[in-house]
Amino acid sequence: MLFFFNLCLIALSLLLLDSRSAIILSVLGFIALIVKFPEKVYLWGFRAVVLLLPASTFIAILLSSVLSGSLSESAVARNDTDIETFANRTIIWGAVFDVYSSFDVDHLFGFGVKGQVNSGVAEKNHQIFIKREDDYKSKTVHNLMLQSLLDIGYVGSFFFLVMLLSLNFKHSDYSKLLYSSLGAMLVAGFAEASPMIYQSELFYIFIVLVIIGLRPVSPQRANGMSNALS
Amino acid sequence: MLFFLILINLLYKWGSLFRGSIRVNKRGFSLSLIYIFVLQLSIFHAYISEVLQLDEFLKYTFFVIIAYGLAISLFIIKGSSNFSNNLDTKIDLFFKSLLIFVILNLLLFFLGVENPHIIFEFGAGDATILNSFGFELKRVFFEYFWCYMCNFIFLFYSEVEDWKCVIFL
Repeated sequence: MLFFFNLCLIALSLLLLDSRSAIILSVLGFIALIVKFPEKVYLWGFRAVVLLLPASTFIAILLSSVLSGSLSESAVARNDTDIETFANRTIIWGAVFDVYSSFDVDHLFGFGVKGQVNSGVAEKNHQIFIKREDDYKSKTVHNLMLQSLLDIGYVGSFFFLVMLLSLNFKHSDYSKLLYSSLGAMLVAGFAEASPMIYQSELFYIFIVLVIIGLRPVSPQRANGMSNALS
Repeated sequence: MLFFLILINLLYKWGSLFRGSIRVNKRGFSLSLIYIFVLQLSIFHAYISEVLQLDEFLKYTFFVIIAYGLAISLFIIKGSSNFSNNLDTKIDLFFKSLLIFVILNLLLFFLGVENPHIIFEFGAGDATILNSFGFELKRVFFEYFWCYMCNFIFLFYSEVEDWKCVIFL
């Protein structure tokens, strides 16, 4: 009874949040928990998400051009004038691509937190956030890797990706759950600047998951796995 | 950058002193340390280039260092001794650490930092991760509830226009 009450509460909250990505990811998360894939599927699925992160914006722009003007595009838009739809994100990302099209030393180490301000991207996107005149500078570029490039540059972003690839949850009996959780956060990074310090609580959860992923495989668990295999 | 490299080198040597007493994936640990320091440097960079005001600088610094420090101390140091591999224990720790984290934010707020960041962030990302943890809905409801209660304290002191966070409770 309590289970269904909580389920309804979460469903209601998701609808009230008016966030399509949260709804999609929640459904995917739920499927990942219910369907029993082999552990390797979760591990390689997670790694695939990490490896796809740098290419995420290119994929999105490609999809955007394919869907341009079609029914599918209007289906993913919240309304005609909404500026934060999938299609309009590509305009914001385009401004970042412009900055990074010619090499500069700043690109190596980034422009610091809120890199969109120092890099001039915020000014270029000023018109998009015209309704939010006061805080357009604080608007992120709605993509984890692009925001990462702006903030900490190529070097920092490289360390970020390698750190993610070095994580494993093999030591845990709940590895599938942990892969799914961290994977879901990174998938959200395709359309949002998360998990970054701009979303503080989410960043904290991210750090906790990273820390859990730092633990090596315990000898007992490794033995148990080899015994199970043999 | 030179300062950064020296710092990393020192930290690596410092870390080697504890090798063996803390059971971690050493490569991952070093990388996570580097990532945290890069983040901290980017915060400092933004401050000296006047993108961040002093209170924002303190807020982000506090955030990165406390978040990482708290997570490390709860999960790694605890993990080095007699720490169970049971996720239940970890989830317990996770919620308790989150509660500590919210209280620390609260302290920061009373120390004069405006909008210490946490209340406005409960939203889509939160829902996503909670649903990924959805296997333990009872725990989410009962234990996370206290975190939201702490946030209610903010409501009485902040000008919150978006009441979705309250409804989400």
